[in-house]
Amino acid sequence: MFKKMVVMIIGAIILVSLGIVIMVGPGMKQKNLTSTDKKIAVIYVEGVILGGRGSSGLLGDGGGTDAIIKQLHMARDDESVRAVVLRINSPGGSAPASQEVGEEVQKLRASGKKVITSMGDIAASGGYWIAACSEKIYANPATLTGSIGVYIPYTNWEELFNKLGVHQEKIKSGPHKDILSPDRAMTPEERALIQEMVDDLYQQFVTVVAEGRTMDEETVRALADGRVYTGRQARDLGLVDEFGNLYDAIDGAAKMVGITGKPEVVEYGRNSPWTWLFGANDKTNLEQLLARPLRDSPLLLLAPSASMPR
Amino acid sequence: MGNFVEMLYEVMVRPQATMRVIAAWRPVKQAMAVFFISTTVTALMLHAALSGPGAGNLVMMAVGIHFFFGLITWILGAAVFNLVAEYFGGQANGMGLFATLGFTYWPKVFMAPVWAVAVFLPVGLRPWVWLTGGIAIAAWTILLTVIALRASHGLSAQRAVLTLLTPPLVIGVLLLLLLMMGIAALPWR
Repeated sequence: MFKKMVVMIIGAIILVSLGIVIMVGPGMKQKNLTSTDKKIAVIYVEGVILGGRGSSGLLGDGGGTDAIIKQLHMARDDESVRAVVLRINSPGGSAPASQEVGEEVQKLRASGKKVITSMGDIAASGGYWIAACSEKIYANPATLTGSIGVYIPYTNWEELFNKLGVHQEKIKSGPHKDILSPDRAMTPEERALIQEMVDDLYQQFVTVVAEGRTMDEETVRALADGRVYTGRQARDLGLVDEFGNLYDAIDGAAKMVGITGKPEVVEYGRNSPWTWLFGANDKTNLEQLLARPLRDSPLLLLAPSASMPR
Repeated sequence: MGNFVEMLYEVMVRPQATMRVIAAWRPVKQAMAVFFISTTVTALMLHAALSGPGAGNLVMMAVGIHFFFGLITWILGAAVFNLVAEYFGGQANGMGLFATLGFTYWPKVFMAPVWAVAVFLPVGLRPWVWLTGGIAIAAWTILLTVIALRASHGLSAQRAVLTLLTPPLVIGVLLLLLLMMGIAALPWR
């Protein structure tokens, strides 16, 4: 009887312990039972910003904006997260992808949470689009930022194809179906159409920056000629608020939401050893992307969605 | 001794005598129950530890790997240890060793209270608690394995330890040889 009692007590202790472990649940390493309402979430936006799930690994996907949006949702749903720091280290990417992340950032802000940006080496173009949607921007004086503008890349291989004796025949449903096709020159009409698209995207970008930075559109347009600024220049021009690194941004976020003492930091989207071994990389490398064969490159083939805010 | 619950108590309190009885009686079903309980507890803790933002399928995969490799280790371990024990002069008792090795999984369930205590401690202290608890439980498991080898094969303590160490040592030497062969095959310029 005594033996049974001892084993039963051990069983009960194990069950209660399991209950505690499961209840405290996800990411035990980052949880602190005594300070669950003092959290600052850090979300990483790294590499070229592209829509979708990105590359697929054995255990997950990475590199696309779906993962970033998912993390923004998680931060919004986590009541203990008081503010979010976006750590941006990106040269830009596609306009729709940057836009959808930017809109999620705005929704997060609308839910009552503060969003602060910390720029890394580079936060240009699409990276700046997202940053402009946040409450406050921290950058290093040497950070490369700005590049506010849009372009749609187009290469005309017609002469080369002629030299090689390659002639592509097309049966089109409409005159512009093969717009941006690399095997022929663009017509003036097509150029005007593409320019209209670029202008529209540019206008959307300018509006986001003007609203996000509370600047008038004319001032933004004057700055938004596509040039890159250093962090110092950007601060002087009002595109950045303060100098500082990630930890300065975290401290700034903590102050902004009234957290006294050291805030608890929850990192979303950071590569774990598991992801390193079996998952997909969260980052997309621009050089690798551009080095892909032409047929594999979504930037070049899917021309209408190839608008790159760069 | 016939009762499963009492057997668990005896394994903790009188491991040598209990392992001898298990080796002779060979209660494979009870051993499987111990393996299943202990692996489920550790799998649930693994799930709790790995779950988090961005973990996705990774957690279920890790839990699956945990179960699969636990079972493989148990079955292959019993086979290999039986072979090595016989080589070192022990009597053949594969099924007895299989049953006793199943009971060596029991200490692992105590990782649950260790983790539960750790979550109430400051973040900086937690790894130390996990490490200390983990080392203690690993040492207990190794001790039980040595006792299991002695009980099932009638080996001396020294030979049981040697039996336990031989497979990892052989694997280590083989890996080293493979590494050296790999290095030797590299093209030198």
